Amino acid sequence: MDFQSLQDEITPWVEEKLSSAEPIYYDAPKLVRDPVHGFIILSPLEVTILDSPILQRLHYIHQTGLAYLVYPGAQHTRFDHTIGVIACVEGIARAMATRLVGGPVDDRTIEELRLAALLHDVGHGPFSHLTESVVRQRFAKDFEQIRRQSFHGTIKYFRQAEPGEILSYAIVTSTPFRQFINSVHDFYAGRGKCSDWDIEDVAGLIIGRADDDAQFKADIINGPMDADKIDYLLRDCHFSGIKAEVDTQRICHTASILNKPGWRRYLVANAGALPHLEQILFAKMMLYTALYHHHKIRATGCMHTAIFELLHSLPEEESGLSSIADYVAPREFEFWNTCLSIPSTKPVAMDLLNRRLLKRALVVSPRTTTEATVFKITRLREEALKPGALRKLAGKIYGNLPARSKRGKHLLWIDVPTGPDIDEDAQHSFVDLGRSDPDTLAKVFPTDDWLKSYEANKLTIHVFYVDDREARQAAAFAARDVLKEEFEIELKDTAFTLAKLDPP
Amino acid sequence: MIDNESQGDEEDDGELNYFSMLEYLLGELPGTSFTADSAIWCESVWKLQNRYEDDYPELLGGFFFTERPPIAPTSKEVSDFLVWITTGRAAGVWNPEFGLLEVRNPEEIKEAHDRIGQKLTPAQKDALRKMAAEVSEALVIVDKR
Repeated sequence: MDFQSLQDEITPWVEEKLSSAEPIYYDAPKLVRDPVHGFIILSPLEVTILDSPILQRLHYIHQTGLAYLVYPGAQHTRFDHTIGVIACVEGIARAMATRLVGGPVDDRTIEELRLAALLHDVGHGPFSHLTESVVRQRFAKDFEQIRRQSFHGTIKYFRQAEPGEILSYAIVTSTPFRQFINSVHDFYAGRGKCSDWDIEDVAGLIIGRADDDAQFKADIINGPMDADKIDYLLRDCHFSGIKAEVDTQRICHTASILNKPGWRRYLVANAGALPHLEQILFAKMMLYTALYHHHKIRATGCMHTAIFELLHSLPEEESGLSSIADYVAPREFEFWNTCLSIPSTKPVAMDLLNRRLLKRALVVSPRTTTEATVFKITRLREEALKPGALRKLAGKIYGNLPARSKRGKHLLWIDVPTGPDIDEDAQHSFVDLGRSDPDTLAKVFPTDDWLKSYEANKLTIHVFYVDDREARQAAAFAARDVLKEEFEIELKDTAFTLAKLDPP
Repeated sequence: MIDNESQGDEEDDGELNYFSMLEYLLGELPGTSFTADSAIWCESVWKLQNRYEDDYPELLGGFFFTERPPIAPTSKEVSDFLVWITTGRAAGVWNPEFGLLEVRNPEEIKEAHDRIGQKLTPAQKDALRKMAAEVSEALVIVDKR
């Protein structure tokens, strides 16, 4: 599938969604109280767009998937986050405009950036990255093709974009959305309440694309230290209750635009930003440890994927999954309704709704593996890159269980997470330390070592299975045997005791 | 930021992935000492991709590079490989100052090379041998003691 085909699949849904409610127009800006950033002023045009059904659906998409089942406060949504990103963009851009008098950051640019912030997450489906992962897996070859294809005369136009960003771009540049946004623009432009921007340029920022002389704009929206990251780190911490500090205001006031021969006009931070950028990287690692890689949250992700595994085994007319739009379109309550109406998915959905989560049967990491076979974990990691391979492996473990311990193959999971992408962030973030050329953060901080340390000490592979202790104990032994047979991995007793099970 | 990308019910079609391609390439390189500098690895693979992707998309199509010129292009896939090859301790960085990636378990690298080699066609093996020769100068560190 190329990009055009993907957009063709999405367009009927966008059209139907937009036609379900007439635009509401406003005379004056609105003030919104946000628990993270305080008061945020939204222009009439922004409120009209936020009021559209395409944006309103973000109220029903949790920012951190099913993490609220583990951190009860993590009820924040893509809608809250969207408004928060507008606040961060405003903070960075306004600070730049103040300092770089006569520079390229004028009111029109700020309007354009705010609009990109407003639209950057419209491609998310229920439970955010959980569904994005299912989509990435299900349409892996399609997204690989899209990332390779030439578009607008540029080779690999989408190469830096994640599936969710490509979907946002597809929605924003679809014909019905363009018609909607153009009519809203014309209404407010006719009253002198908005500038003259091009929605194609705005959409480009969502996938990290801008002209060389305006690269800073793409960096603010989709860059290594972008407004999106600043907001989600702050917001995920705030709502989960995890303590990690990010000094947003200081970061805003250290942001500048690179102006050196031979370089694009990248977003660059000055030396004063170093401790605060370090804070961002540490906050991200903290969130990975405590939230994104928390074993119970990983278990909720496996259960969510289990539902899709069951749906994929049904004919399309029963599962309702015939195009990519069917994955993205539902709001979470619609997703639950669908799952509860299908006999095969109802039990897993009920388990999630009642918080009856899968539990650890085995904990596999360099710490729980014998010294002689610890390097064999790499082979398991390599296996995890092959589509479907982990499910095949889980099937083998399940097949080896005694009949009395079998509760359903879809309930046995091997979870191999990937580490935080802090090295990517650091390799692409520029900091001006007064040398002839800017440095990357990776040259200033040993992020490579931090990541290796994270992977060696914190990143953990789990085998998850049902709560029933006897069944889980059987799964632990079966998993141990399969890991030894397939990868020659030998486990220490802690692989079992950390899962609160008996060692052999 | 929750990923679960390694799951899914799509069947393995036996194709190579970026990790196995780099593991095989590592086995083709002479010696046991390589640069640990991720930027040099990324640039080397980027050059190979530019040169050979049209002929061997199955070998090089799985790498995506972020280009922020004039700094060297970077790839999550290449960085990921380097982290895992050292975390898994098939290779290790003994001296971070010098940036030396040294193979600790040559038999493990050889075993991976042979296992992956079984999936490759003779033409693919020839191509990877040629590619290894091209990046050898940049990646291999010769012990001059």
